[in-house]
Amino acid sequence: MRRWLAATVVASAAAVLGAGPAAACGGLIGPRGGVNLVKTTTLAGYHDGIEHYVTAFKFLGAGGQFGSIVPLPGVPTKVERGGDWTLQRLVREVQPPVAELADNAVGRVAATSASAQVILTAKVGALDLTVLSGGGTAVGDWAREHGFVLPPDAPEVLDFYATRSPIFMAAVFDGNAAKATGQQLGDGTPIHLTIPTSQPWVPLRILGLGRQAQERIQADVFLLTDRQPSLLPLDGNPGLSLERSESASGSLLADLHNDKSMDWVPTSSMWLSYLKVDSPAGSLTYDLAIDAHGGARPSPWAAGFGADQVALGGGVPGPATPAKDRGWTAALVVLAVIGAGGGLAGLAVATRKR
Amino acid sequence: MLRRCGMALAALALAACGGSAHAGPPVPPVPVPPVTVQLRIHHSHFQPDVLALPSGALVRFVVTNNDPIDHELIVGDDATQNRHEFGTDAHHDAPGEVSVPSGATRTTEVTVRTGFEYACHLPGHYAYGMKGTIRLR
Ligand SMILES: [Cu+2]
Repeated sequence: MRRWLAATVVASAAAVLGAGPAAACGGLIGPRGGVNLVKTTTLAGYHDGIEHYVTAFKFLGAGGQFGSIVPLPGVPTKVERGGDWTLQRLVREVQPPVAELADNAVGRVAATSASAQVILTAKVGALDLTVLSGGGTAVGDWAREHGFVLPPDAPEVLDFYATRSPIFMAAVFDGNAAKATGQQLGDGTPIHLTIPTSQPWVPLRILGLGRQAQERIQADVFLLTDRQPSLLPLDGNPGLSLERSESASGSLLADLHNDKSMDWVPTSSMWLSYLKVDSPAGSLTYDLAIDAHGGARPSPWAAGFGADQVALGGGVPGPATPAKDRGWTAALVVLAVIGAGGGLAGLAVATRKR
Repeated sequence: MLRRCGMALAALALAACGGSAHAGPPVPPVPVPPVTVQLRIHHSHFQPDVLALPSGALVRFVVTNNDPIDHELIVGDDATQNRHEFGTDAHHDAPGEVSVPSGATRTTEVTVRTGFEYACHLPGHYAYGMKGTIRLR
């Protein structure tokens, strides 16, 4: 275990230290709209009708408070600290073997209600998490009233998600508290959300929140499902690629299963999908719909497609009544809160639609 | 509107004449009501984003912000727009300049001239497309 963990520490640190516009996945909106970037990795696992979403905030050394708002597909039954190595182990699974390099290098790298309703609060490390129910405007109001500085595209993006799911999670990352507790540059705080749902989906559009249209958005998305899923969109979308689609290895499942709060992962018979997002923010106008039940019918509606986009996205008919569709979504959004410049918090979230 | 302006100018001329030819009190100028324009802000864009207005007219902009974030309305020429885009002044008390908090309706008046546009210069808003064109007729 130590060998692969060391390897991913190197990979993560490289991404952070070299973070420029090309390594964008999470961003922090500064006082004049500037964005600090870092690449973020998320896992969306789906087993026995339960969605497990795991992601991490990365500490980049700044003081002050920073926040994030994430659309959720439904009300989480549990919000807790994520496992210690799950995300790193997944990255390791899809990277070429670099164990020797790691051993050598590790030592060098340090709805639409009028107002939003608070459903659940939790504190994980330096993160204060609040699950909200409300439409895009209500959640935007709540965020503004709680010190979030929302970028100009936030109203449209919040509405984009609220029409499918009126559940969001707001996170505030206290950089000063992180410093006080000895967090190091690049340290992540993993978050694990447990969300019952019948059909998973992953929000991608939200990754571009606060970005200029030409800025590149990069992200790694891992899916663990009981069987090989059908995904939408893939064909004809150069910004989203399926890099790996295979039966999950026994060693991977065992490593994940043994991580903190990850015993829901079966130790056999799971399917691993690894997708890369590499797209200009202006082109990332869709989400990732997943049919995890073997029906080969991922919902265009769950992918955020309008009627005129369905044909481009694969021509799969949407649900007759979208309001009855169910799905969860995972998102990565980082917005500034009370922000002095610098630093970054990245957060992914899962959302389900009722 | 041109006709109204003409009437106002005529009234001013009469008043001036009256002041010199007669001993009675001066005749006050006939006030010219401003042209009123209703603007809506939705998803960080102005609706409408093109206005056709009489050249030299006094225009009252009534702007309603339906977004959950704050905005502003700045009506003016390039120099005015640049001053707000690249400056740090958050106070707007000049004609044609007003902050519009989330959910609020605000009003400002300004005489529109050649080269005017309207925009919001909160960070990133102009680049996002929060601007409108004024065509004079
Ligand atoms: Cu604005």
